[in-house]
Amino acid sequence: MNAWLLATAVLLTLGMPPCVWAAGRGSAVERLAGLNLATTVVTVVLLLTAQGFDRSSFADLGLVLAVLGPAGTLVFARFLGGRSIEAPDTRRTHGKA
Amino acid sequence: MNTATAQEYLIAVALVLVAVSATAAALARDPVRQAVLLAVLGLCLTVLFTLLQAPDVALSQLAVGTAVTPLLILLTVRKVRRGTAAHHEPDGRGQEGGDES
Repeated sequence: MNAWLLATAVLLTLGMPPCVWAAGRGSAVERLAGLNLATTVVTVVLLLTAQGFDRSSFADLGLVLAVLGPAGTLVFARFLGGRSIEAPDTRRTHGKA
Repeated sequence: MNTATAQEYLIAVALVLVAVSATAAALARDPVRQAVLLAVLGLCLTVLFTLLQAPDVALSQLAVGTAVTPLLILLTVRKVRRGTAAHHEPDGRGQEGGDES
């Protein structure tokens, strides 16, 4: 067992449960914070796994997640925020004004 | 602790994370909150597939489970709620117009 896998084990054991816990309670916007933290932790876990297993092809997963994670968070924030901003009364008010 | 034991420990932790997040996603009632939990479940499944030495499955799970499925759920929820709001529109318009003016 090398240090990379040890770091992966520590991060997966101590880092992910708070993310799942934060994503499982509260309102939808509060859950988004847990999802964002989980994306970051999983990116680091994937990169550490690529080093620990000595397979450089695993690093592509971390790179893809690093691209998809913030984009997904932006999509979530757009829809969750748009639901309160574009409420039917507000949209009609903007349409009239 | 050799590498095989460490790998089994990592797989066990990932399995527990998948079970917990899937149970939480099944117990959530609001579809919007369920979409966030489904994204977390996709991340946990990605870690599990990676630790099981299946990076291509993990890559497709990452793209589908983290990005596409929650996006489709959110689009569907918005479409349904907008249709419901348009259905009840004549009641709300008079009250809101009176309040705004």
